[in-house]
Amino acid sequence: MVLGLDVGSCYTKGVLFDNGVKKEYVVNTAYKPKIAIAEIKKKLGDFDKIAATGYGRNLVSDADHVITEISAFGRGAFAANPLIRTIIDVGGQDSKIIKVRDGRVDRFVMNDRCAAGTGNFVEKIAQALNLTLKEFGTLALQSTSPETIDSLCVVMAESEILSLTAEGKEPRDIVAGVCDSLMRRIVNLGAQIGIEEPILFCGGGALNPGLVKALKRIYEDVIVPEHPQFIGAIGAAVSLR
Amino acid sequence: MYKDPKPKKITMDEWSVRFKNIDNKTIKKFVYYNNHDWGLYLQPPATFMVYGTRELRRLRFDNSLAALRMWGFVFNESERLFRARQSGKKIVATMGDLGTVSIIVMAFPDCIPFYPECIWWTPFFNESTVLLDLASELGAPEAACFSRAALAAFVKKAYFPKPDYIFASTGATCDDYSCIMQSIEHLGYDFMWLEVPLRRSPAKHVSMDSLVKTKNGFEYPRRFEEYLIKEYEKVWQKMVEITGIDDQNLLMVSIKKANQVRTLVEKIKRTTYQAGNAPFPALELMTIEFGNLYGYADMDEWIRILEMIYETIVERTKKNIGIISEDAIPIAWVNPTADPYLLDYVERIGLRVVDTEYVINQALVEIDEQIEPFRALAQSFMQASLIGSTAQRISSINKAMRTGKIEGILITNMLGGSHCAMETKLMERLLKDKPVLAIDVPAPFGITEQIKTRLQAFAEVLHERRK
Repeated sequence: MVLGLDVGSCYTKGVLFDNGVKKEYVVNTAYKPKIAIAEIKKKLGDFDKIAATGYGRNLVSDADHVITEISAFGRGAFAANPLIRTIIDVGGQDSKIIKVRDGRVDRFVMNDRCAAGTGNFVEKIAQALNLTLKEFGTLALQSTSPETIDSLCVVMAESEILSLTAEGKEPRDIVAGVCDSLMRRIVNLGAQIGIEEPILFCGGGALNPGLVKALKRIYEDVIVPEHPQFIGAIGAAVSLR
Repeated sequence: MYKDPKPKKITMDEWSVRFKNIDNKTIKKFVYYNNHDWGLYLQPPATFMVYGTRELRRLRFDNSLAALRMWGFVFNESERLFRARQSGKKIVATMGDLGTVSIIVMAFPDCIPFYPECIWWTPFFNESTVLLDLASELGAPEAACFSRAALAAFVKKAYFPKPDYIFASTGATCDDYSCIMQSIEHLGYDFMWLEVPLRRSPAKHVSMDSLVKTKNGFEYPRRFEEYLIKEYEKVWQKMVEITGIDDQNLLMVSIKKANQVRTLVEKIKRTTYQAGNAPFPALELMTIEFGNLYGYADMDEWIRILEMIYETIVERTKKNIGIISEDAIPIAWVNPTADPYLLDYVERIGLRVVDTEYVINQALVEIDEQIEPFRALAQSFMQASLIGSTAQRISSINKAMRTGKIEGILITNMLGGSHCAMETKLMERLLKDKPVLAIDVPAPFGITEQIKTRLQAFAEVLHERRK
């Protein structure tokens, strides 16, 4: 039994893996990755080996195997669906677009500079609109006519959204516009390496139905796996086998 | 005599400990400007960190005496230039052209050429960012290339003596640096501008005049060469005016010396890149390559250092011993990195640099000694990747990729460097089917975990491709 650990900036994810996911657990990293790692180990119990990935991967001192999240997502995506050509991961700290060929990472690009291209964008706007992430996603699904959000940064987008609210625009259309804006930004980033379908959408962002719908407005063949948040942890575990 | 231990990269502190084993006779053997009174320079790297040691402490250095000698010499350049001034030599700044005007200046006895733009190394090896901060205050902010450090150095007057004269090349050179040179001119220095032509597509000119084909396969209209010859003659005349000497035989001697360096560096690179175990680290090799520009202001001693390095490399190659594991993945490196730490870092993660495009290839090619010297200099310069198209710039890398010599390409952008901002996307497009990673290297000391993750992932991808 392998414990796959994905120590992310916002959340630490763990899976017990043995020819499939046997158990999974996620905790808030909350700037205390070592505590998060310990909590997952305690919660998931017995395992023979540990494989670590994520920005805090090197903090897993007893890891038998350490790989970057790029490779881990490649492996995890292949385990989820071998036909996948592109992986889009929207995480809290960064977003990644990974091209996969024959189950191996071919090329990748990352956005780790601008919050407006990460899950952080959605969180900040949800906070500004006084919505939980769940409410945000549900509300976005109800929109039939998303607003256009043009601003290139979180702070400016927040102002733009306040203006739209003041103009009396429907909240559902505003949040759907936010989802479109984020996905457009990510897709533009991915154009550097050429996005091909089928696309596996994963990371915490894939738990947001509004973002899924926004991506599906751009591409037809988008797959959200059963454990979107755990693809990295699964990939780490698979890479150790 | 100090005997080299088994090849290894060691820290600055380890070098300080090891230095105790080096006897005085060896220390006194190596001098600059052939001066045994004050020309000693063999010191452990820590000695040179007068502004703090944090950044040098991040690096690891080759543990051979040859490498120590090289670092001692390179870090000593500032002191060397002040000593040159004190001993009555003329100091001439040759800015922007990177590798040709310096050969003309060197032809005049007791004239020392140097490149103030190479001062950008200083903030990267030191803890202090004082030069970059001052450059920002002087109107060359973060949005400009790191070579802006030169402007601050001219203002502070502490990094090199006031040049007796400055030759500044503009045109098809770095446009950021052209702006910086203009600012320096306004400080009141004696200046001569010369223009470097762009190696434009020959198709548009073919009917106008004859074409010249360079050794690396680029073509250009003959009149560009004639123009450059006139520019170099202007430099020569100014130097004649400054020194009162007019002997073109000295230029032939200077060219021979430059060729000696270029041939040695080519041999060092070839031997290193072809060896099973990499016998010398990438950081040292980049420093060696940049020495082609002006021999770090003492070409004679630089040649002796290169000879010693070559001997060390040959010795290690014969024994099949090196500093990187044999299964390291060969890659090409495009652009000089703004942070020397990266060159060490890629070797830590299983990559090996075996091809480079540091935008100074005009200083790497041999100069024709059989033709008239100004024409020979012009022809060598017209091979520069700096003055041609992006496709030409990466043509040799493309070829190396096709032949399997390299398995990946790493492009390191200098944030603010205008050629990086404009060229990298084009390069990525031209190399789209190849494993290429482009990263922005931020201001000194800015290597983040995200950048390391990208490099590690790139290494993992390349290793995976081998399976």
